[in-house]
Amino acid sequence: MENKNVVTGFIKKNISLAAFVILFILFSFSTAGKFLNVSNLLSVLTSSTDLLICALGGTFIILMGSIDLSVGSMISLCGVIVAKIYLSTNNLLVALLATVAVSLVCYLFMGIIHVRLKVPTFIVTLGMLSIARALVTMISGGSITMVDYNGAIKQVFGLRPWILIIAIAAFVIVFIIERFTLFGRYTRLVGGEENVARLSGINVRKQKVLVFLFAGVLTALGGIVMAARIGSGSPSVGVGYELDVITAVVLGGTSQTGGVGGVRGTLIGVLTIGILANGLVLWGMPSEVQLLIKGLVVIFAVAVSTERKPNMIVR
Amino acid sequence: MAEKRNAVVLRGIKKYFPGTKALDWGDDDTIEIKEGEIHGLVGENGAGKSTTFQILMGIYDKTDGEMELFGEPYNPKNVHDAESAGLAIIMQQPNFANNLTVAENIFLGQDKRFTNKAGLIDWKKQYAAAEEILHRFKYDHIKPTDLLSDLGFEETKQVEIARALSTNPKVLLVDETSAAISKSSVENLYQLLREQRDNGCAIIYISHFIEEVYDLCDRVSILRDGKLITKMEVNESVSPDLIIQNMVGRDVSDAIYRSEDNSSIGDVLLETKGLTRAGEFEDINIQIHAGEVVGIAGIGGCGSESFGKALFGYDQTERGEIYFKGKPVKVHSPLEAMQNGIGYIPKDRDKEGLFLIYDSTMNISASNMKNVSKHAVINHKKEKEIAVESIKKFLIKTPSEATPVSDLSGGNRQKVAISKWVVNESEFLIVNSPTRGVDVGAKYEIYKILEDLKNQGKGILLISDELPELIGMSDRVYCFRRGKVSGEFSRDTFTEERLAVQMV
Repeated sequence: MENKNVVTGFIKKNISLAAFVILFILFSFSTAGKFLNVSNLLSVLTSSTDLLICALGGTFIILMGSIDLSVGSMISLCGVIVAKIYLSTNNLLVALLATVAVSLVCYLFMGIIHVRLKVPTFIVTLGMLSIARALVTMISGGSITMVDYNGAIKQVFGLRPWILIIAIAAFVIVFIIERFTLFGRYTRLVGGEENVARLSGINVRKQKVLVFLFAGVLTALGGIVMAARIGSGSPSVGVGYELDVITAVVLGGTSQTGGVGGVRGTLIGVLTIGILANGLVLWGMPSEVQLLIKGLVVIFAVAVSTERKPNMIVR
Repeated sequence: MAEKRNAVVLRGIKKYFPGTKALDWGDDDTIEIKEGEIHGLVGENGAGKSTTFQILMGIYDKTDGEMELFGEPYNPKNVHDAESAGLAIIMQQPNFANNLTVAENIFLGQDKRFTNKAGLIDWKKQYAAAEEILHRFKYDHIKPTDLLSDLGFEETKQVEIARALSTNPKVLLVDETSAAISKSSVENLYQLLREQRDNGCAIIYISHFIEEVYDLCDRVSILRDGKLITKMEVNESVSPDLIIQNMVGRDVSDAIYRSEDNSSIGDVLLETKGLTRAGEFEDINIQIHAGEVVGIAGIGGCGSESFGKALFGYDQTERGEIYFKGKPVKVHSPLEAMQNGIGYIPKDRDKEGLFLIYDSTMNISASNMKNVSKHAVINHKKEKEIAVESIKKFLIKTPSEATPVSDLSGGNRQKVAISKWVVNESEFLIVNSPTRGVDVGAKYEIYKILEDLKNQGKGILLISDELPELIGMSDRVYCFRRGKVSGEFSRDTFTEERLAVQMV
C-alpha cells in the first residue's frame, strides 16, 4: 500500500516523464523497428530543437504567470528576416543580429504595453500574433525565401550535430539561469504572487519586461533554427505553434498560473510531443488524428498530475 | 430546568496530514455542544480549532473519530451536506464572489428560490429578500445591489454574518470573527449570537480574545497541539488567566509586553514633514527615533494604514517629504524603500506578506537576495542557513525550512513574514497589526522579537487596532483621526481612555 502510494505519487509528479516512457516503449514494440533506431531517434531530436528553444522562453513567461500567444508568428517573422538578410548580405553575423534585434523590439513592445498600460499578456500577445503575421506577410510578399543548403545558416543552425549542440546548450544555459540566478528566482517569485513580490522589494515591472526580452532572444533563435531546419524562411510557418509551446510547458509540469515548474520538465514535455508526433506518423495516422491525440494527451496529462484540494475552484 | 439536548458531539477526533497531526484527541475525549449554548473553542494557532470546523463543515474528512448531530451519526461529505444538516459557518476570511452583488452573495447557490416560471432569476424578489435579511440584522447601510468589491472589510464581514444567520442554522460555527471588526460591530455580533442562542441554536465560537470568550461563552473547550486539554464551565471560579494557562501550557499572564527599559532610544531615524495623500491622510509630521517603538492608534479608515504603506512606497503621496537619518529620501516604490533600509510587515500576511506556495527559505530570502547572492548568482547554501537560523531564533514551528508556509499556522507564518525583514537588516520597520489572528503564545514571542529589534536600535512604527498592544509596546503613540494627527502621547502619559478620546 505504502509502496503503491510512492509509485503513484512519483508518476503524478512526473507525468510527462511517465508519458514519455510509456509512449517510447509503445512505439518501440509496435513499429517493427522503424521507431527504435538511431537515425529515426536523431531525426526526432532534430525536429524538436526549435520547439525546445521556444518553449524555454515560454516556460519563463508562464512561470511568471503570463502567456505568450505570439511565438508562432514571431518565429515565422524571425525565419523570414534571417533568410532575407543573409541572402542579401551574405553576412551571418549581420543576419543573426538583425533577427534578434527585430524580435527584441517586438517583445519589448509587448512587455512595455503590458506593464505600462496594464493590458493582460493574453491580449497583448494575441495582438502581436496578428501584427507579426501581418508584418511577415508584407516583408515576404507572401512567398518563401530559400535558405541556401551550403550557406552558413543551414550549416550552423540546420544540420547535425550543430543544431543539437545549440539546442542542448540553450537548455543548459536556461536551466542554470532558472535555478541559480536572481533573474530566475525573481521570475518565479513574480509568478508565485505578484503583490508579495512587489512588497518584498522586487521591481516587478522591470522583471516582466526583462522576461519578455529573454523570451524574445530565445524566440529569435528558435525562428532561425526552424528556418535553417526546413530550409526556408516562410510566412506561413508556425501557425498554431504557440499551442505546441504551451502544451510542452504545461505537460512538463509548469503551472498555468505561474510560480511552479521549470525548464527541466519542459524538456521532457518537448520530447514527449516529439516522439508522439513521430510514432503516430510511423503508425500511418493522418495529421488530423495526430492533432486529436495530441489534444487528448495534454488534457489527460494535466488532469492526472494537477494537485487539487477539495472544493478548489479551477479556472 | 430541563436538560438541554446535545446538538453536536465530537468524540476521539483525529485528522492527520502528511507529516503533522492536526487533531489527535484521545479515543474517549469528547466535546458535547448543547442546544442553546455558546461553546468557546480556544487554543493557540495550530491547536486544531479551524481544522475541527473544517471537518464539521465537510471540507476535510476526519482520519478517525465519531461525530453526532442531534443524536444521529454525522459524516458530511461536503459543505452542501453540512448546510443541509443545519450547519452554518462564519469564517475567518470571508469567502465571497467579489464581482457579484451583496444579494447574489447572500443567496449564493440558492438561486432556485428566486426563479420565475421561465427559469430566469427574479432579481426584484432576490433584492427584496436580501434587503429584508440585512434589515433584520441591522445592516441597513449595506444595499443588496452593492458590489462586494466596493465594500470595506467590515461590511464584507457583516454580509457574511447575515448570510450565515439567514439560513436559520441549528448549529453555527464562528471562526475568529471579531478580530477584524470595530467595537460597535462586535457588540452587534454578540447581540446577534445571544439571540441565536436563546432561540436554541448551538454555537461554537473560536476566538483569540480570551476576555471575549469569557464574556460570551457558557462553556469552553481548550485545544493544544491537536489534543483536547480540558473543558470548563465559564463562571466566577474560572479566570481568563486560567484559560490562557491551559491554552499555552505555561504561565504568560505577566510580562506579555516589553519591559520599561528606554535606554535604546537614539537619534531621529525617520521624520515626515507635511506628508499628504488625498483622501487618506493630510499634513502628517511625525518623528521616529532609532531604538524607539512608535505606535499609531486610530479607528478603521483613519488613514494610518495608508500612511504606513506610503512610507514604504506602496501608496504614493502628493505632498510632503520623508527624511531618513536627516536626509530627504524619495520613496516611490517598495524597492526604493528597501534600499533605504525600510521594511514593511503587512496586515494581510497571506496575500501581501508571504508566498504561501513556497517554503520558509524562499520566503525569508525574498527581500534579502542581495545578501544571499553574488554577481546575480544565488548562494543556495547560505540562503538555507539563514532560514534555518531564523527558524531557530524565532521559534518557528515547522517540519523543516523546506516546508511550504501554507502548512504553517498563523502565528508561525507571521514569524516567517517578520524574519524577511530582520535578515535583511532593515533599520526601520513598519509593522501593521503584527498579531492579527495570532494566539497568545505566539503573540508573546512576536512582541519579544519586536522588543529585541528595538534594543538593537531599529526604529519601529507599530500600526494597530488593538489599544492594549499599542500601550504595551510603544514608547510614544500618535493618534490618527480622519487622516490627521489628533494627539501625541508618551509612554508615561498614555492610557486606553486618553487614546480613545483622540481617536473618535
